[in-house]
Amino acid sequence: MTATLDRTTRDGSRAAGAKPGGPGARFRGRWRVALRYGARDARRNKGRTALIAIMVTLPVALGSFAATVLWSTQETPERMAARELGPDLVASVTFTNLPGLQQAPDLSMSSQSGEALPGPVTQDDVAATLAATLPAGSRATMGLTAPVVAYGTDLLTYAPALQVDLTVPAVAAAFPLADGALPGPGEVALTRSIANDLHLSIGDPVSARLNAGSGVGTGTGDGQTELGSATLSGILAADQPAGTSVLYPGTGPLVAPADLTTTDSGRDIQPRWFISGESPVTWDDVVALNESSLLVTSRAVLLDPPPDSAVPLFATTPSSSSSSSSSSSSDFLMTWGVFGAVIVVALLEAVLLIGPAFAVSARRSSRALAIIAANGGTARSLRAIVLGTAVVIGTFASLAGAALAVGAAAILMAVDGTLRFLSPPWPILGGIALVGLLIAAAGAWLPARGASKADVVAVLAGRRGEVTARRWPAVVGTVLAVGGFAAAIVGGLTTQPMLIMGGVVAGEIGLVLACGGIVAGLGRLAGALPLSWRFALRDAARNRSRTSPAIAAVLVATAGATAGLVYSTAQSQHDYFSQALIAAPGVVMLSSGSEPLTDDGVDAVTAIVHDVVPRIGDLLPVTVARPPAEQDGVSTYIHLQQPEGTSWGASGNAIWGPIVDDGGLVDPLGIPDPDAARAALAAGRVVTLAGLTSEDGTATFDVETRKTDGDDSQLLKTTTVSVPGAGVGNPRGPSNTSLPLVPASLVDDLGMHTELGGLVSADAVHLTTAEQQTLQARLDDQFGQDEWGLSKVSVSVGADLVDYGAPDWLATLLIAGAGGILALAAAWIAAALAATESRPDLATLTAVGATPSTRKRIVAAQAGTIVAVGALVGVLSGYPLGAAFVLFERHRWQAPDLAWALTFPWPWLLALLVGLPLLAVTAAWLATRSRLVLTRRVAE
Amino acid sequence: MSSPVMLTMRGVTRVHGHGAAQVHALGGTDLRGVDLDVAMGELVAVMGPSGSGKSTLLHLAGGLDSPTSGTVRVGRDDVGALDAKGRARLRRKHVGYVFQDLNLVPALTAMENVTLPLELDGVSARRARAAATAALAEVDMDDLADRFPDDMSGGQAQRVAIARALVGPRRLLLADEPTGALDSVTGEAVMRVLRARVDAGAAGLLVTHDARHAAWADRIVFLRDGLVIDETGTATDADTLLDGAVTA
Repeated sequence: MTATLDRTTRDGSRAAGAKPGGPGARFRGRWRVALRYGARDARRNKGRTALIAIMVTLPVALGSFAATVLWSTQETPERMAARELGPDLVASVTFTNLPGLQQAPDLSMSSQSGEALPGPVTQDDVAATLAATLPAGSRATMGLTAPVVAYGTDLLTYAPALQVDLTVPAVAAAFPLADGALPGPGEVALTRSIANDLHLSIGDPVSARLNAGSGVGTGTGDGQTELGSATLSGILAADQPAGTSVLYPGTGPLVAPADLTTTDSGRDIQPRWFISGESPVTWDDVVALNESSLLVTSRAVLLDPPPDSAVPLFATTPSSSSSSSSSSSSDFLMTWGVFGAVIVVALLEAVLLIGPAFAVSARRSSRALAIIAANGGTARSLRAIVLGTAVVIGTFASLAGAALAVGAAAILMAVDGTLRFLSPPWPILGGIALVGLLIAAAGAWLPARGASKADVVAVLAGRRGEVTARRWPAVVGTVLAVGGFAAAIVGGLTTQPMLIMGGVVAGEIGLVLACGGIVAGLGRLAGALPLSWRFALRDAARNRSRTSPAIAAVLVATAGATAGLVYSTAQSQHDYFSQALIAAPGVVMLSSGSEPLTDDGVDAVTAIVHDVVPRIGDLLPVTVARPPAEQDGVSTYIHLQQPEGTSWGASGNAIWGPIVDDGGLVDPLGIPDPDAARAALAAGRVVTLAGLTSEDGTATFDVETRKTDGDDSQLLKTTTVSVPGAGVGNPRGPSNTSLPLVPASLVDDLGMHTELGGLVSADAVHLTTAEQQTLQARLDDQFGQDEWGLSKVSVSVGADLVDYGAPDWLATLLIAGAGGILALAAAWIAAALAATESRPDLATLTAVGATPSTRKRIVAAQAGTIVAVGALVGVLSGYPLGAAFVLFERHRWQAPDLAWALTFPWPWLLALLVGLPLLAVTAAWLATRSRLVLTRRVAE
Repeated sequence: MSSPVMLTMRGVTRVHGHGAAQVHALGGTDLRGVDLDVAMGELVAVMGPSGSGKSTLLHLAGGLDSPTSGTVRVGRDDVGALDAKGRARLRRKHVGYVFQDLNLVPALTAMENVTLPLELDGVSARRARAAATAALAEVDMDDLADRFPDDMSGGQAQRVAIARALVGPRRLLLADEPTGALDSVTGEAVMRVLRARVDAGAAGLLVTHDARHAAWADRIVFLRDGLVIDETGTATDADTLLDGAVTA
């Protein structure tokens, strides 16, 4: 103990053995201490660490999972080769019937020089071309693809089928199985989604028929399209060659067409050759096969594509043009703008929730930080030490989030089979993890800044070293918030998505900045309040570093929830008004399409309907009014005039009107205000949706005369015919596509004649899906389909009118619930911190005679203050945000969509404004002990 | 006083606050025209009633606070002329504090607490550990280098704080009631260590209100209402001075 300080010069100058470093060394030393402190601090405060870790892990895991799944489903040459060719095939070839075919190496684009080949081209011709062009030793195995309808016991589904010789090992290897075995004679394999759709298991029988118009090439040779029944032998993995969902062996029912030029690739049986062998199919081979109208998927070309200069197609079409987007720029910007804004606001919310936790930590560590300052720590050192905890927690939480995401994707791949390739995008995951780290660091930034500026002497003396808050953030925040919300509203009115999103983000950030000022202002108004609320408001105002982020977190959560609720309820209302009924719920409608039903047709339809649905009862004939028939290429079109922004007209399988009725069809067709409608029809008035008649009740029809020549249609003249009318229902909707109803007495006035447009059941029947499908199939068998593949007589059933708000009830609850939970979490954190920090003050209050329940009341008031202030400003600021999105939808198209209108979801808004603060107060009251632990005024 | 002077204070005045707040502070922690020297190898005790300005004196000596007027020099450095970074550098290199209690950073071990000023100064971890090991050995705490403060007694924690106050090049030890939270036996042991470090060459400024501990000092300075009322006294005069028998 008597050793001299022999390492020291007597004047106190530098000692030997501990050389200080330059700025770089000090930086390293500072962060070495910071990270060490952070690691220990994280371990010592497990509850807080868990809270912050969850806030970081959740967004990182969600983002990483989405990125991994998206990346794993992204098409790449390697995946395309693996999917289309399996492990062993060298190429596959399809016949395109396109003269002058030129393809891109990755098949992303192709071109042709004419409509079709003169034909005929047989499969032998193609086989000979392949033999002459492909490398020696190549083997071509022909398969057949076709669109089919697969049947279970009582369900059917549409699926692409492939039939190929699976005894060739290289071919069989291209069809990976999830379960069971590849099909042999009399068997079939299905993908899991198809098997699930049909409720089938291995061993069950599967029937199928061609889903093709021509019915060529069936095993029966008599034009029938039934493919017979086969036993389900196995479940195919996802992503099969040629999108195959139904796999038949080489002995299956499909038969190749004799002339390949007479088939339609989308509807008929098509051959496909699978090439195996030792030698790769080169780009020169592909170009040569293109000359024979053969499209080639070559493994060698996919994995090692030729330069653009060697691709004939690129000489006329730049390769970059292969990527095109069908989305309109507005939709694209809206989608990505909303996505971006939601992410920014969600990250802001995470930062705001993390902030108070770090404020707690920094406040509890204020003594330790003061000790470090006393030992030479600079403001930068103290900031680094608080941020060090964030860096440690953020790093581990981010890595855990990324690992969880990759693990979840792996489980999804193993269990669900949706993902065939798992390919985590490591650089992107690294970027997302970095964002997680930045969330933690951003949450710690303000507490770190406050800690670095704290009054060290005051803290060492046992007083609080709170830094006086500046006024500029409140001013800047207010300006930013007002400007941001105004921009969002303007963006909504002028349909500028980026202006809406920019305004949303700026507005939210502005409110966050303004929180300190709001709290300070409220503190000044606290004088007239009862003790507990006065204490809570003054405490909040004095300790803005912890209350501001908590209030901001509540604010952002409730603003987001309010905006979501406003949009959600407006959308729900829009969906309700946009409904178009074809008939009363459960009523069966049989529409004859463009051709009128004959008497024989009516008898045939009636017989089939009663056979399939014996309980259906009477079928009522539906007469429709038609303009004069086309003469010398001149046609007449008659339609009711509609105000801009309203939509009306028959859709789907409804009977194409106008329907002629004198009141007997009002109930089966589900016409709104049925009594008024019947009275109007009896009085000789046209019945239409309210708003489509003029103020004096006149309905006006436009009569257009057009001359049609091929695809060209020339308007010759337009005249108008006004008739007495009556409006029923709500002008905004829901509409009824059977409107208008024209009384028989007015048909002649309109210059029209009548014909039979279909039948409708007198009563509601409520068909099952199987009954409807069976009925449609029987009618198709009887009447067939038109040139576009549509049924000549189609079945439809009147749907139930969905109640207002019902479809989005769950979404609304989720939005309000998520906002509420986030708000309460923020309040909980802040109230717990406030309660901890207020102990000395509470002890003083107790000493002067406050009752034991004072503490409970004060803590409850602190929680209530945070939630009430945050919820009030949040709801007030959230409404314009939601309104901006609703206005955008309303003005999105040229004519305003009147079904989009601003709503006030009062029950939900009241729940946020009143219910949430009450909940916070109650929870804080119940969770706080009334017994007070006396404490001394030391900030440790 | 043949040894070089480590701390020099000349005409140091510290007034807190302005206007009404200043009036409130008078008679509290202000200092008025204080002169004081502490030489290497010398332990000076500062005594005085509560609110006499003892802690303010210590904070000014270590650069945690700045004088309203007057000069504070540590070695060759004029503390009043240094900015915040300069004062932080001064504390890393020359000045070590020992407070009444809660001296150590709870999240760091004894070794890490001692290496703290060196690491913040950019000294390599290896060199910092070597210096800290030596400093801990000098206070007989090298066996407990890996313990956390929560696992130490009050006396052990104060020894570690003394080791940290004098680790590396630091030679001015500022102790604010270092035994205030300890029992008398432990307090005596800590004072013994403190005295030993000063005897080994450090300069020490000890704030205490306990005459027994002031007796370890070479010199005692008495403060009252921010004024030095005596700097020639010994421990035997302490009770008299503290009772207010001697006035300015």
